Amino acid sequence: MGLFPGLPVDGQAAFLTVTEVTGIIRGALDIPALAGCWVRGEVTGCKRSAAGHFFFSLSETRGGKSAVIPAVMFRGNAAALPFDPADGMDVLAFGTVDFFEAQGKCQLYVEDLRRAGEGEKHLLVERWKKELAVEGFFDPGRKKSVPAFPRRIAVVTSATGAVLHDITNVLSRRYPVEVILSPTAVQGDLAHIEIAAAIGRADGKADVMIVGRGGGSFEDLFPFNRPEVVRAIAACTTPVISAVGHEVDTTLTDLAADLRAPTPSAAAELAVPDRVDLLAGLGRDRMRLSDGMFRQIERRRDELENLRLRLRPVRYRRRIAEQRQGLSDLEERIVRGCMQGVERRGLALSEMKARLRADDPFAPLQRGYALATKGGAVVRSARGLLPGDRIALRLADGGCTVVVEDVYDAEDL
Amino acid sequence: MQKTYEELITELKEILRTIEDNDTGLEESIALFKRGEALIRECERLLAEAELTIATLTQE
Repeated sequence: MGLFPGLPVDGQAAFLTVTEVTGIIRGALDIPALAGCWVRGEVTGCKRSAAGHFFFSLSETRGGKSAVIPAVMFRGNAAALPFDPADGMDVLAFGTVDFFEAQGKCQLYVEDLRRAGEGEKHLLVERWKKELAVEGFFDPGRKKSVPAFPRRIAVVTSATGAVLHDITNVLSRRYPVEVILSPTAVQGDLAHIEIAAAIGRADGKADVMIVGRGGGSFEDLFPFNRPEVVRAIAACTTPVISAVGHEVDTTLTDLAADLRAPTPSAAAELAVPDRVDLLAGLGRDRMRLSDGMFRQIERRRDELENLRLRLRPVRYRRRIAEQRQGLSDLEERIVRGCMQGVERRGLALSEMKARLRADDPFAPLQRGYALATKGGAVVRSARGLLPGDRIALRLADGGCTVVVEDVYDAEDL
Repeated sequence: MQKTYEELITELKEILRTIEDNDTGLEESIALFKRGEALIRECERLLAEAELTIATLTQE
């Protein structure tokens, strides 16, 4: 007993109560260095209470020596976190170190939690992006076009996640095809190796490939920034549609893919046409086909009608009428010609009549001559007459028949 | 080898172009029209019969 300091005597305040001790500790910890500081460490023993608080430890091993400090992040602060703390995460915690008297432990009251190394990883991605760009993996010229009517679609994603479900949902509604799942882990330290292998396995087995992940934090998407995945996509003969991350958060996978979709559902929409649109298009094509056919027939009907018109007798009737007209013209000319002929002859006749009148063979009868005829023939000579012949004598105002008594020559007169 | 929907549609478009061309003969047009109708029915059948099938590539 003598080794120990003397026991305090009753009635004297020579010992400290627990509360006094914890109070002193709290007071000792109340220094600026521990109030509102950033602490970096690895998350271990992480638990989430039913109320939503996170309890974990921040630990570090440096130079063979381990150091641990318990930490708590209450629901109010934890709700704002873009990720759930998990064991093994390298984090930066902002908070205050205090002593929790009820449990007699010193702990960090965490107000904000960031994933450490994120900044470094951003820089890493930027470096990869430059390097891979130099190698030409993001060139627009090497983008393959996605077929309009794929028959088989390969999906590289987790076998269990919502991505496959979203994609098959859209496909079955729009344009059902054969889907080949090339399963892979989509996060974790070795995810990029798995993803690259899954892409390689699916290549050449489908008409188009969707590489998908249902969004997530930068850290979650990190495997899709890895050069291994970019190279696997670039090596594909099958066109690749990426559906990784969000609109704002472009991964190198998105840059390397032939087509980029904001979500897995959108990727499925890009991969296939919509059956409803196709059916409507077919309806239009059917209309065009029959319209074209009708026009062909209509055109031929018109042609035929034209030919029929050209064959119509009316044309010939007209031609006949024309001929007939020509004929009647001729006839008229003939008639006219004839008439003129008759008239001309009439004129000639009267002229001749006048001339005849002027040269009347009976005119000498007026002067006392007689015209003798025998048997209707004019008797111009005494020769040939015989006594007893009957001849007719025509006188100016009549005639008579005489009988020849005697015939003699002129010298006998 | 069964033709793909894409091939069928390509043929259909070509038929439409030909049948809408005034230089196409009537007999040819009728034959093309019949072929076009058959193509449309086949396309509709393909669309109607399309079913979603899912296969999983086994890990190597």
